Amino acid sequence: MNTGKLTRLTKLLARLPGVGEKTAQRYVLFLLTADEVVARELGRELSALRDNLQPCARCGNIAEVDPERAETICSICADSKRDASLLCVVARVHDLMAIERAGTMRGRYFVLGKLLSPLEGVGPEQLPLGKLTARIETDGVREIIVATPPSVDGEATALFLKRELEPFGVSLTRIASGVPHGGDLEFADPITMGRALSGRQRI
Amino acid sequence: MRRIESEALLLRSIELGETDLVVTLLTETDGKLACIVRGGRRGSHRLGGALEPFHTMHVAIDDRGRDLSTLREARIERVRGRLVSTLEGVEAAGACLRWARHLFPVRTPEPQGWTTLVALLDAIDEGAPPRRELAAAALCLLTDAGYGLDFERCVRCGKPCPHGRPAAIDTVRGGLVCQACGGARRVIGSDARLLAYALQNGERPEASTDDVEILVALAEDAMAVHADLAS
Repeated sequence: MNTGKLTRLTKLLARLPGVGEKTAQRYVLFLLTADEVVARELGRELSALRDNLQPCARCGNIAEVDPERAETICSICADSKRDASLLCVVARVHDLMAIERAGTMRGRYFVLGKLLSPLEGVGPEQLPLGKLTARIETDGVREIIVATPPSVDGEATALFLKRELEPFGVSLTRIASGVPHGGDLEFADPITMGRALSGRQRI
Repeated sequence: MRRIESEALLLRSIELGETDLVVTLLTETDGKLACIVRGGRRGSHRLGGALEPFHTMHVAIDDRGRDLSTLREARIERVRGRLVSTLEGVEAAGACLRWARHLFPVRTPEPQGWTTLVALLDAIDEGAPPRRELAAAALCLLTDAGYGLDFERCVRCGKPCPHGRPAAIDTVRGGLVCQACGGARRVIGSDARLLAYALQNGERPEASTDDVEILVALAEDAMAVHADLAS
């Protein structure tokens, strides 16, 4: 039996996050034995993926390529109902999607792509600060919500953005952090509890 | 299998697969150890909140003597909230922990290195100038790792260099090199030299920003001689 192609596809699928060799092999065998349409459709979509989807030229979100437009713009940046003066800065597209799921953010986004990392030596020069400041000026941004994660890297990035963006006269806010909804105070770690207390709100 | 219980500092955290973490810890008792944290990336994981750099943790590790041990428990013993609230503090502390990760070998207790790092973190947390503390810690870390720079006498002929004079420093040779021994391309002023000597001896004099930065750059160059800082 010629298993070269089978092995090759298995190895390619095993490179996906969260997929090991056995799972990859199961996927390949499923695609070989299930309805042929599934495999052909999946193949077509995969081969066109990088041509059809690209980072949004304005915010870094995933955007569908429109051959009739000069630049690739995502649906959020193209949505005229969104508040252009409110910009939410996130580290990754995953974070943008998580905020969108909440359904309460009516502004637009800017994806940094990475965070400052003092332990890994990722410095400010590796953040797209020029693109972000250009966005502030062109869109007339009045408030920036820094929605980087509540980790040391996320906090360092937030502090850096505060220092760099203050001269632009925008209002800078940081997402709250503390005890999660439904959580138990008894099991909160000291950092989380400290933040929950320092970020307390009047009721 | 051995159970290690120790104070520890987080030196690095790398994502592994969908939910796991591989963390590099500097433990007080056993030195640098790499540990796997099963499910450590889940927000609900009991160790998740404790695995942050700059705070001192108490950890319990199951060690089978392999490359990767297993982190079983971690709780924060000393929170350094003031340090993590300033960018300068985070940058200085982060740089020093990064250097420690490169300098120290695995499974080798580093009592002096541990003391140096904890002193740096505490000083920044108490409001000391982060860059000056970084310069002090960097020079001490070099000494702790056995690569200390000599600012007192020529490392080739042993001739003392009088105080109040500039000196040529060769980071490859390990410090000051007198003119008779060929000198070095990098020359530091008398103030920077005095500052280096004071910082190595635990003193914290007032220092100019320029002198502090000279010493930070010098120490980083010296570390790059002995460790691959880019990895």
